[in-house]
Amino acid sequence: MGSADEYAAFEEKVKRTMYVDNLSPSVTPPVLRSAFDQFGNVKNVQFIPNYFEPKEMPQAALVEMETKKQAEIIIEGLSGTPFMVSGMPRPLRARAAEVSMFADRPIKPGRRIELRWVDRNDPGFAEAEKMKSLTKLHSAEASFLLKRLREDEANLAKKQKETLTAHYQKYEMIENILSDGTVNRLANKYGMKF
Amino acid sequence: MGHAKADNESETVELEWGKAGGRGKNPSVKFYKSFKYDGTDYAVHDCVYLYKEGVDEPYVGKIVKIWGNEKLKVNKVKVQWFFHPKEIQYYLMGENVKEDELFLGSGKGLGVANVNPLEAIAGKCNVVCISKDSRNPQPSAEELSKADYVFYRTFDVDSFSISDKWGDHVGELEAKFVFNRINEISENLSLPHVVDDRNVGGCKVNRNNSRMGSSEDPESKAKDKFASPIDGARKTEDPVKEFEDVDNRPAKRTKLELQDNESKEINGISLERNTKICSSKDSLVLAKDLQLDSKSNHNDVALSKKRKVDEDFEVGKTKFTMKFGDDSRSYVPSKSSSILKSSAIEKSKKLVVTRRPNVDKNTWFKDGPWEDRMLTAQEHGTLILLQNLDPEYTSGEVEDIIWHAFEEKCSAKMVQHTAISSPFSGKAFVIIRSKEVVDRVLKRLLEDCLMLPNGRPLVGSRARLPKVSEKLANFDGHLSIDKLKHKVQRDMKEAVSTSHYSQPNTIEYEMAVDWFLLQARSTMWWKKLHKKQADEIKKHKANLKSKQNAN
Repeated sequence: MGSADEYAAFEEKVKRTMYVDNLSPSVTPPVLRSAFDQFGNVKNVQFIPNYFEPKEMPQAALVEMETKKQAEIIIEGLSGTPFMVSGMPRPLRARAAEVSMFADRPIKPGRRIELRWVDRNDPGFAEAEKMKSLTKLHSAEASFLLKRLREDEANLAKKQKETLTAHYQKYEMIENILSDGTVNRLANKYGMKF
Repeated sequence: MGHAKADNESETVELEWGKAGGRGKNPSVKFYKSFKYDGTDYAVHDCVYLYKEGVDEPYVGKIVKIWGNEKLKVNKVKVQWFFHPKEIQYYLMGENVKEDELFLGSGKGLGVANVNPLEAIAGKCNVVCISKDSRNPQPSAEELSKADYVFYRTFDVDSFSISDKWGDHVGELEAKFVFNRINEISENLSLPHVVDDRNVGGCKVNRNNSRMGSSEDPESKAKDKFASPIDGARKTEDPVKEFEDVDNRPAKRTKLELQDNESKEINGISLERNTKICSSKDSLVLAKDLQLDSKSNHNDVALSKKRKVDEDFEVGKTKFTMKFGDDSRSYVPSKSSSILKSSAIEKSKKLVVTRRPNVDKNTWFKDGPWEDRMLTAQEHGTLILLQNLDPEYTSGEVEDIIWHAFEEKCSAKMVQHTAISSPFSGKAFVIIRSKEVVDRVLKRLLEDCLMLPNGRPLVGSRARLPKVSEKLANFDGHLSIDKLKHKVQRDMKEAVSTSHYSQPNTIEYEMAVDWFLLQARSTMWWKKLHKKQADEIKKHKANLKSKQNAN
């Protein structure tokens, strides 16, 4: 009985929680909390540990809001307008959280786990074996895709960095020639008013 | 598209008739309610595979009628068909279709049902009705995970339309035979689907609701009426549209409270079914006067709430309520019968995972943080990674699984999912006490297959964690201008919060839009990948099922 209530309470929590990713590794729980406190009341912030990638990769976190409504509004907002935390210009991405994202999920009441050993003599053995290799293949596919994604991210970041540097240099140059009198000298030389 | 494989087997395979269901007009025709074929029991309203070589997905149908002609020595079953989305792709018009969804044939006309040789049946198929219709007892998560297929919509063979509304009759069947029977679980994987007659008026089972059609074979099923498009679709092997994630269908629907109080509830509930099918006398009497006294037993309260079963079940015009508690012993017959049945069918290698002993009592020994333990375990070679778990399992349940499968204690941690995690393969890290045990576990997992309730084998491997790099590299996508870095860092320290919505007239906004694009694109990638993988898994699962059933 207790477990059913507990699970129902947990499901409510899932509903008012947002899953946020594309977070810089430098974002800490307090930073994230204050970022979302602007839009509602953050009840809890929990980072999802990433055991498969190095630390400098984007982080993901669960942000529990006070109500489901608040979470929905924020998710909606973040999908339309870039929202940046602890850096620019890469925006956060927010979605509704799912049960499997929580570390502290309770056991679902009524779930029964039945295991069955299938050995060589079982008619389904060959197929089950195939499924095992399929699983490995799938996880390899996923890692490959993730690698591609990270490459694309790095490329985009590099491209933007170049753009930004170019812009910066341009402005810096303008500022310099303004401040060191070059502009005035040139204006005089060509008989222009500046 | 001839018959399923059957014919050549029929000589060697044993057939045993069950309960008789009356005689037809022709004196040599005898109807039956059940039969045993090749070691499997079938009954009217069971769902079965009708397998045909060369078709990658076997046909699935629901038995409407069973009869044998003694004179001609032929045995027939009338089967109402389920349609695979592939078969009716043309009429789906881009509707979202769940990956393992079927459509029950409805309406009148060719293609709804056919008469097939009994020997064409290749095995039982577990089809679960997930209709939200109030008459349909909602399946539990477990039932769902065991389902070969689910359905909640019909395909009308007259109007070629899809509908999720359920009338009183669906094709050859009364609606109540379409929905789930209560408690299908205890009877093993493939269960007959008969009745739940809550809220269904006039509960007499009409055995003659199906008219015997002229002999048609599976071939004519699709051909006649659905001449071009459907038949075409059946032949082409186009992947079906828009699957959703399936394996971990999070089963947010109501669940049966099964854990502890399971048997009791099962009894109570299975009762109704038994009255209908087994017509065991005890339960028949009971069914007339069931009383659900929700206060008498906590478990039952949970049950009734969970299942949204109101306290009154209307069956016919009498108000039936169920009573547990003291009366529960009267259910014993049905209980034992269903349990006996399931255990008889179950292969001996089956393990039911329960909580380990003393699961919450390790207070005398505090472990360090998980990350540290994981690193230590990796050094000692005692860290393994499991895959293919139900993503909703808890770490504790994984520990239980290891305990039951290998009789080893361990500590486990489910890997928390993120947006890019595979929706059907939950992963978990497991720390086991010694390297020798790890070797034994991995060897066994490699040589045999430990099948999980989701129908897939547990995959284990030695885990390798990513190297921890000391320096914190720049985060891709957060730009800074080198010369200003110092100043920015100082600013950041002073700032309380450094988050903001970007304004559309800035360069950062423009750049952010690029990131949005990349994010959207990657979402598509993952979706596509997961869909493809789901297809593959499903195919293998179906193969596995049909092989095991055929045997």
